[in-house]
Amino acid sequence: MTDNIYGPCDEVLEIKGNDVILFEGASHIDIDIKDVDSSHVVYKVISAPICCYDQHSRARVGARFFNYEVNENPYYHMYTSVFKKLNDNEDLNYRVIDVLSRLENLRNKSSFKTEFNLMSRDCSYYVDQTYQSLKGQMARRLMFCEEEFVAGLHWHLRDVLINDYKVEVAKIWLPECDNKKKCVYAESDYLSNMFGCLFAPCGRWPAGTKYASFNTSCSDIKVIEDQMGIVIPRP
Amino acid sequence: MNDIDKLRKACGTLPFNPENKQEFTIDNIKILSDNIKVYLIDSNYNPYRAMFSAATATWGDNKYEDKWLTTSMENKFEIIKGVLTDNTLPLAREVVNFLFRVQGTPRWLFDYHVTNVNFLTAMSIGCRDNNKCDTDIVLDTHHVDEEVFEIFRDLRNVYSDLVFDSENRETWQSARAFLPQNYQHSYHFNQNLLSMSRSFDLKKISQTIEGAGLVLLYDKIIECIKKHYPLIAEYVRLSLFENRDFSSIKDMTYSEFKETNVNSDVIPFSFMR
Repeated sequence: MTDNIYGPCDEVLEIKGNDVILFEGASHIDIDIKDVDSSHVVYKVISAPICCYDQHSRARVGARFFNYEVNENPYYHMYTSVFKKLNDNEDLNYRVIDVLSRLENLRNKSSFKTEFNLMSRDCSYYVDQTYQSLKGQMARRLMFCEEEFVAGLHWHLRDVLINDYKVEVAKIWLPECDNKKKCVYAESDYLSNMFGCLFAPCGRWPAGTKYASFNTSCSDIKVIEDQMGIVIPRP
Repeated sequence: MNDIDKLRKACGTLPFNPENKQEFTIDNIKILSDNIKVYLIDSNYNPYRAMFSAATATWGDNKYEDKWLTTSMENKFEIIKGVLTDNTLPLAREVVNFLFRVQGTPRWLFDYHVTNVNFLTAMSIGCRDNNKCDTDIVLDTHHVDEEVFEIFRDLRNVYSDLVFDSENRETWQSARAFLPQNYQHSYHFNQNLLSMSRSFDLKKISQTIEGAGLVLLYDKIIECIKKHYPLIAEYVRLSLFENRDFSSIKDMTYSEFKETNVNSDVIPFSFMR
């Protein structure tokens, strides 16, 4: 039933079955810079999951999101851990491809496709954003307590602006914890123990809390580096 | 349970995380038009006084006394009518705030609401912060057959198997890859009256299904305000659905207003005193 796509080292890059394709983590997210000057940038986010758009588009000040489009093909972005599990577990893999194929048939028959989109379905959108706005957004979204799609997208955007478009100011856009030179994960005005701390601290800086619902970091720096093909600076 | 968890349980900030899977039944499939419920959680202590004070704030002498205390009921009503017929500065509508709890909306409608209506503050139940193994599916259609039921049941089962995996459980965040945009996503939102009266352009948005969902939601919001503040609800209704034709408010007499407010739940007529 599955017809996977393999990389040069025989690693599975995409899980494919019927018309359904599953991508691993942030590996397929891409950025296309449409316009850039000394104060703002217009970029297209190509191939991100809907949950990433939902999170990203919360930015309000100095940012405008437009041309949001959900892919008409059944392409899905799986969190890395789920992708690996699907790759290792034939039964689960079969069930997932099967239910996603049936969902696609239902979606194709419906006049209202939105309600049959999963949070992981592939989409694209444009962002028009000032550097001032982007600076604040980067401080938050480059941290590894953000989910891998969001963190991966922002590290990739930073990398493209610095290396391909020579936007010097982007070099100082760093995670808030690097700017403050301490872990901010459990700070009272951010994710305090009482209101957040879903994941364990990422370890980039010594953490102020051991409390977490899940004993794992939200995102992993090495995984993001591998998937986006970039080198992320260490503090 | 550790100390932080005890505190979180007491404050209602402990994530929902049952020990066992929840069975998906036909009762978990809801129909949008029947499912949305809106509750008014909080508003100004006295929105009439807020409107009056804002509308008259730019006039007075050096003493700058509270005009509410010295104005007759009839004249207070005339000022409020001025506010609710767009005949004062818009600031007098900006000072009236409402906090609502919205239950039973699908995720797509929440997203559409918060990304298309300006100047509202929304706080929704997290699908990263909670185990969503109990979530309902809210469909726009009344056509629910075996095929539809089985697909959403199977998606729920994949989600549950991931988060209840005894050897290597997934986080609620990573399992949400299998949550559809029609899973129930409830929220609170705060909006001021000025923003509310300009929530959408009926002609433009009723063409789309998302827009029709928003119209349905604001119908429920108006119903909810009406129980407490009928005159304000009428203003919102005329703004959104009657092309801002406020003649019925303009023509309203003080005694008619008195009658409508006698029957309201929260603000007795005495609030005008």
